Amino acid sequence: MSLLTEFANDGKQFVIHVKGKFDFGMVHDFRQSYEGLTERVSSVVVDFRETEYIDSSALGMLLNMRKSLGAGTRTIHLINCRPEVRKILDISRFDKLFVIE
Amino acid sequence: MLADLTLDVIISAQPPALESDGFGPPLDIIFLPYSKLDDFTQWREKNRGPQRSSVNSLNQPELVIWLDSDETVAESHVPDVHDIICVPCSRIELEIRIRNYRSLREAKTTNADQARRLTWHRERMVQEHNIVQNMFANAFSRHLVDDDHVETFLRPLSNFNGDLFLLARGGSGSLYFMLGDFTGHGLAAAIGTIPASQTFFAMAKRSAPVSQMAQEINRQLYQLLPSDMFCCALILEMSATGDRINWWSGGIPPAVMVAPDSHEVSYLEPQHVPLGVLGPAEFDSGIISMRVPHRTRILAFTDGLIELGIHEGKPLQIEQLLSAGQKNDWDMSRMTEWIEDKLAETAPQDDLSVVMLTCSPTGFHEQKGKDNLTKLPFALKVTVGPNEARTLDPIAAILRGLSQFDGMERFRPRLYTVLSEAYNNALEHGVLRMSSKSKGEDNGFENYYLERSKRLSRLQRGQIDIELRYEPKLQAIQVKVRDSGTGFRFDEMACDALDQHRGETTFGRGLHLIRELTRDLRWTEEGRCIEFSVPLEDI
Repeated sequence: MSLLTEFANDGKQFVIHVKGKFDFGMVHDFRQSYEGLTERVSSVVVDFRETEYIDSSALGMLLNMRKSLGAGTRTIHLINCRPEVRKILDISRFDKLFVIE
Repeated sequence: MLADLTLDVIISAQPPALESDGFGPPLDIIFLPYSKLDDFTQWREKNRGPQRSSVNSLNQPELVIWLDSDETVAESHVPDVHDIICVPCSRIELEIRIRNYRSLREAKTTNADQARRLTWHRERMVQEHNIVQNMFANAFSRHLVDDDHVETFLRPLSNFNGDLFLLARGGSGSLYFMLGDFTGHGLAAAIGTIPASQTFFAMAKRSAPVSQMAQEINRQLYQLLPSDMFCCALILEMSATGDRINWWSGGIPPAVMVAPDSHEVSYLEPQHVPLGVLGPAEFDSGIISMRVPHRTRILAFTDGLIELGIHEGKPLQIEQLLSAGQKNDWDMSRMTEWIEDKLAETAPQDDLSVVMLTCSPTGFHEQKGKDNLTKLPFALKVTVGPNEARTLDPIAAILRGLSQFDGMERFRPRLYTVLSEAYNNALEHGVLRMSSKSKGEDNGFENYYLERSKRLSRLQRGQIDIELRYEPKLQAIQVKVRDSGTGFRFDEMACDALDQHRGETTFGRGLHLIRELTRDLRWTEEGRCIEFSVPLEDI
């Protein structure tokens, strides 16, 4: 399973772990993972600790998620990025749209 | 007369020959006439060595039947025997004295046997103790020592610690620790620390999330431990940047979190029952994830600390701990002195562990070794036809090959991104003739990839050539990706426009990434071939 989700902080935070390659092969599973989140969830975290590579389709998926979750109403954190992943997020100026840790 | 007695003894009618070495069947009773006294004495002297301990003395007669009437001669010349019976004597007397001797001999045999068994058991226990100690030493050999972020005070009640403190460097540069307290203390309590530690180290190495770690350790302990044994624990991960902690806590006293500067205190309250209590289906692996300012301190401890003095009816109150913390500026060496003072006042009844974590960047990434790049020039050419495009992942295969060269491994993520972008552009726009514009429509992103899959499954013709060339002196990999399509040209104007509207669109980013991550980007062969150079430099 290259996508794993869990709730943290007593259900107020939703965490998505992406394992291995974050590319178009995950389009369907990634969108499904955050569908139907309740109002109780106030923040979403995408944890990249196990993400080896990302490409532009991953950036597109993140943007779609932001749009779908109501851009700006819920904080989306992109955490544990390896330097190469971080660079790609920086190139695309994702720091303006997400909280990158 | 002796023949009439049913006595379980070995009798010799004569003293042994002087040459015999005293070994052989045990000799219990000897008939000794005065005329043979000298021979007997010499034989005994010869065969009595320091090694003839009481155990082996059974090889020498202990009962002498003296065949001369002068008893005083026998007593002065035959020392160190159990009894000397002078004959003639009454049958009853003879029987009683022989039986008496036999009882003594049996007692000696039993004692000797028990001594031998006790020695064997003691040696076996020492050996097993050593094996177990070695197992514990090996189990904890991956424990990270001398890390600046963590200070500890660990005081087991016996040789084997039922408290468990583990520290490990995470594969993604984070720092993991686990503080556990198994029910009871001593070896029985320490047994569970072995599987828990092995799982902890293995999962930390691959940067597993704390929730998964808690789940897996719980599963193992649930299977392994008897139902009245469990492990109260705090499992915590501090991110590589030192400003986020993820933690799972069950049954352990709340760790104290101390804010930098203000010293304001909050608690990591346990959220769950201890590890090993609930089966996998019921277990709640929910973690707490929070951002923390740098220099935040977290003081975690097992109940051995707050139970100090409980037997004197004056258990240590959490307020006393807080007050000691404030007084000592939450400095661990001063806190340790304070705990030592408490220990001097009262005998501890349980294992005691105190851990102080100071949050700051781990710096683990920087410590990674960097291999030198290979000095061997190489070139690689891959041709992808419809069938290969459908069934294989050419970029993954190329990267696996490249990683075999010295120093290439650490550039895999960057090479993946640019090669993947170039290959997907060639496939989707060149060979499959798709337009990215549909990605912007509702559900367009997913529909785009569904369409890609459909077109690929029907693809009959088309080809993509991928060429890589490495020259050591350039410290870069030259890449060419050529497709059999009609050609494409990257529009600088469009790219600039995209720069200004970043965040609004979900397409057009691939070429932008290539442009930013490579050098000398150009299109040749009427836009059917993209060429660029990937610098092999660390970020």
